[in-house]
Amino acid sequence: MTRNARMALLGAALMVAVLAFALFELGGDDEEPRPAATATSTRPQTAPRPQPPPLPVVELRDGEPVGGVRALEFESGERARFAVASNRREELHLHGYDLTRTVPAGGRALFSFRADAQGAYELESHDTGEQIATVKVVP
Amino acid sequence: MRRALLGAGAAGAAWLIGAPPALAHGIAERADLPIPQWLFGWAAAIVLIVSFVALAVLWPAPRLQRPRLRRVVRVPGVVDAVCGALGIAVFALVVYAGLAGSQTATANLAPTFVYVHFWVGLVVASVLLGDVFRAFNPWRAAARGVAWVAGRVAPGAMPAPLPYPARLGRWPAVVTILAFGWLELAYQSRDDPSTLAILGLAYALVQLAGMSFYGIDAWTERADGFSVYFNLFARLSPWERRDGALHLRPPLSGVPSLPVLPGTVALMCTVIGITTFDGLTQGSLWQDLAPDVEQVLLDAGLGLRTAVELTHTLGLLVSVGFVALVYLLGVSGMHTVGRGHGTRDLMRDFAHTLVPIGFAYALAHYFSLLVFQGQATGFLISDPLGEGSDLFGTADAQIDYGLISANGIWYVQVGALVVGHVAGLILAHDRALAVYDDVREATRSQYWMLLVMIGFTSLGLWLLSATSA
Repeated sequence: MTRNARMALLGAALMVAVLAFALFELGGDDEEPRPAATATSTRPQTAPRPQPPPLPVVELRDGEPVGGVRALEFESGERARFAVASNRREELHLHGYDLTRTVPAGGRALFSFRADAQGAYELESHDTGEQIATVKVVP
Repeated sequence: MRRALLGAGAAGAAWLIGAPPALAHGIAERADLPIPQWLFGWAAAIVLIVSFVALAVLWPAPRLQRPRLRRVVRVPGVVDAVCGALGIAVFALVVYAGLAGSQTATANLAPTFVYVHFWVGLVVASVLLGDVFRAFNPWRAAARGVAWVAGRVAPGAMPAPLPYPARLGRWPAVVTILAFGWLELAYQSRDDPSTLAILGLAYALVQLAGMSFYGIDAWTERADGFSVYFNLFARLSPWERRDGALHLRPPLSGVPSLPVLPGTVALMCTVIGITTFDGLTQGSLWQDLAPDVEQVLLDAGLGLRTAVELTHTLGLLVSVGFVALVYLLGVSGMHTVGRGHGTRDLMRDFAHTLVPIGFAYALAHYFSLLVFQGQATGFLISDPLGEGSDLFGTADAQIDYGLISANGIWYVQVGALVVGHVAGLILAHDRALAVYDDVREATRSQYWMLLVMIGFTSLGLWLLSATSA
């Protein structure tokens, strides 16, 4: 390869680097107010948060999550709170955090824990062995 | 509607489905978050940058084809005996735990050992420390033990091994690795401790038979799928054992010496294809597509379990085929450069360049499994059967899922892909210089390999960013 060709390639590399920087650093601003996942009602979009966010509720009918398996998203470090309602008695298990709750028939069970381990964890019913929701703890 | 139908069918047999889609591989309780857009963009940009820089600064004469080794220390034969005995002991423990212990996957040592320590841990250990599996390989150790005793008791009584059929090459290993991939990703009782124990025993018996027919080393280096698999990654390590001594070699210089027997290209495509499929099953593309395929199979009168397994089998084969296609396209492109280089020859000449890509994929996909599920070693070692024993006082240990942040995992994943990409480029460039007489032709041929490597790295990044977890 000639000297010129080498220089051209290095120049191209530099251009890509500059372009990438411009794209991600300057364009990065409009990413910040990340749209909340549509499937979740986890957090309200209003900027000031005087009162605690409404409690997300996963509804079960005969062990099946109404509306399919949803993702509940929490920020790492905050207190994660959500409830599960069911028309029949159900034993629930949140993997990873290893929490178990029992929902009485026609009642609710509350999960409330410090979300300090990031990742996606499965919430399952011990009765059917099926996944009910995904609990996501994001940085 | 379809979902409801499937769900109704599934309710009774829910345990068959086992892990939900987000947790397809092994026995993890936790899934990775998708790498965020900004990191994806940066990683892709860095891949392009290093590719251009690599083309501009890479060397004009081959350097890695004949590495110079530096002798470090002599390894006495007793080390082999001790390691082999340890390997046999661990194998026996895992099989015993699988058969006699609790059949709850996470409480029994066997599933975590097979999918985490063995399948993933040994890959990382091989890259760091060299071919450790060769030292600890239980069936090889058993065969060597028998051969040693036979040699003492009745010297010359053992018949000479048959010549290993040259055309068979590494194909038995390809079959083994593909079968393991199927076990891990398609088979619905993948976590079942006793199934794993029986499969392990059966595999060991087949290996013993193979070694007794064709000779221990001839068989192990070609047909024992796991020996071949871990040896691939050990070639990335700076350690090499030769002539009874441990040697240091320059980085990457162990890879070009990979003997290209029949089936080697298929082996590399299988290794990468399995991880690709593992990543794919965690993404929304697969999760949208798979139920439709399953429904077609259910409508055709198949049972739920068969439908799910068949769908995953198809997905696995398509993934391996896709990887093969990308490689084949690159090689066909290379074929157009210069004269006198057949596509078949080029395919074999460059097969070893996929080794670092294979490792990058494995590390990117399994790093968090190793870090988190690896911690289960703590309680499993004290209670391997899952029946309440506490041998070392660690039975109450727990997995700390906060050990590494999502950011830390993302950087490892992206770092592995980028480093694997660069290593692949370097290996391909060096081999091109050895294959082509003319430096200019070699460089031109490498535009095609560059495309292959960028293709694999982009695919890897996409898989990491598309997880629907």
